[in-house]
Amino acid sequence: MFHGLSLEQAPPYTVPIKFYLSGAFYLILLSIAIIIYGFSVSSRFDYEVIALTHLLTLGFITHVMFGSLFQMLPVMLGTPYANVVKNATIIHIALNAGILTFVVGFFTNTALLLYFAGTLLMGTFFYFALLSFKTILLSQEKNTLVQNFAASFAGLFFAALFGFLALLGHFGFVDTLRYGNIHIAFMLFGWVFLLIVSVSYKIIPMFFVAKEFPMFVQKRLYPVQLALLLLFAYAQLQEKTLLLSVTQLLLCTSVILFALLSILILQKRKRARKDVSIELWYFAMGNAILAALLYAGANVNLSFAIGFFALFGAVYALINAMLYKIIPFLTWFHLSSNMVFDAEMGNVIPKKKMSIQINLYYLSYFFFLCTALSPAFIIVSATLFLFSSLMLLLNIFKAKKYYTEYMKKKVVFE
Amino acid sequence: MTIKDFMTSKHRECDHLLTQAEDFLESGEFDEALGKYAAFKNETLLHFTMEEEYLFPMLEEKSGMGSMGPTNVMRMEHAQAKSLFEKMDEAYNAKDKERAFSLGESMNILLQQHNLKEEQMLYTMMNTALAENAEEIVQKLQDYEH
Ligand SMILES: [Fe+2]
Ligand SMILES: [Fe+2]
Repeated sequence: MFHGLSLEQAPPYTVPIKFYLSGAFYLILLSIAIIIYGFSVSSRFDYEVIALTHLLTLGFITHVMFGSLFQMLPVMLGTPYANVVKNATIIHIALNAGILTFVVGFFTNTALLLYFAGTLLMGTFFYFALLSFKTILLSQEKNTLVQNFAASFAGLFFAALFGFLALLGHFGFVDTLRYGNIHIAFMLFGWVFLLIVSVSYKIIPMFFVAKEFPMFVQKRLYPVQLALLLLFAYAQLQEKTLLLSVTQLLLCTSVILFALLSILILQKRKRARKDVSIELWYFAMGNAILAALLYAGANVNLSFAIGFFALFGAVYALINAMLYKIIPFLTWFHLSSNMVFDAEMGNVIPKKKMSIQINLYYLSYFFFLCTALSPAFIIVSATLFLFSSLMLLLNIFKAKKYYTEYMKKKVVFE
Repeated sequence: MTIKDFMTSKHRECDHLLTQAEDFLESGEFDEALGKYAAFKNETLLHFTMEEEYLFPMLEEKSGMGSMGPTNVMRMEHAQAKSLFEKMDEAYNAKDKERAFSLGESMNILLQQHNLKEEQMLYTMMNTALAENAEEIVQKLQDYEH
């Protein structure tokens, strides 16, 4: 009856931290690459822009999402990842090899590297999606939350597949643009959006002692979103222009409704204290709404501005907020479950350091908007973001150092 | 009322007391904050006692899982919470707002994820394994309050 039941599902501290540190490292690479290439790019279809975008999406976003899932999925669903340390290591290595060859491949336009990177990345994503599916299937409960997570992993699966097809297009096998659009839609509206949605259902009531999201939203949103994505893919492949515009509009509507709902719920939260993570959440949701409004009425080929608002304004901000919630807690939790009771969460990463980093990010965002006036502002923006990213990396290192130092105390104590 | 319903409602009551304490803290009403914090601490510790001394041993016996399984992890987390209470006592008594908030944050996340595991797994298991005596058990749990 209680087969496979264990409450000790959390992986060792080093698993998520390794992913977070790598993620922050790619942000530094990204800032430097923008300083070097930022002036010379003109459209989102430039190879340099594809490389830069993927430094953010693969380098940072994917790393943090994978690292957090290894940590949180088991707690939320009550089932552990199989061989988590080994699997996390394999995925970490494959992901990094994939990202580096992918980015260098695009910067240098080397077909062989891109073939290699595409295969490796698709394999990594498939492997992670399957591993997570397996974890989900073992869960005792087949509740709404489990289904939501499954939907987001399905999104990841398709997104990776179409990404690979789009990559083949760069060698002239298929129409890159079409496959690229489907890839982006599945990534943003499928994997990323549904993952954020699933996590929010659980995390917002928990962290902020707020109301649950309405049950019909939890039950209906993900199947609607998946159905819309399949329609989108069909319309894009068959060139049904009207259907394409309608699905595009509806996909954006879901995002806007969810963003507004989450703001509403957060405003009625019981833990009334304002902190940086709440501000970042509002900022991210504002950006998500803006991006969705722009995309709802636009040409299906995502523009540069929409990508900026969606990725840098919304997804990045959300992840930054989440990191500052989760890392101090994880550090403290792992210490105190090792019987080290002197540690305090508030001392893991100094509050001031977190807010300086976040303000640097806001400034960088602001100066990026100024590039509408003069392209030269890109250098200011990228430089500020370089400092922000360095600080983020240092802050995560601080947490790790805090952990190591307190763990040493334990040994001395015994 | 099932065991799960009863214990889950107790989790919510404790959540509520902590947020009330923090609201008073925020507005600088330290005496009221201290009062609510004390109520939160008492309720939470009582709840731990109900689980550790009454519910867990019963479940361990009925299910044959023994005391080294999931219930042991729960006891471990209770100990983590108790270590936080010691620090929160200091912070509340010293009227150290920042520290009290930061410890309250740890306490909140710790308890939320702890409660989640209990509600999703242990209490669900209790509802099944201890179904026959549910009424009597809930009655006994209610008596703990007095
Ligand atoms: Fe408990
Ligand atoms: Fe409990």
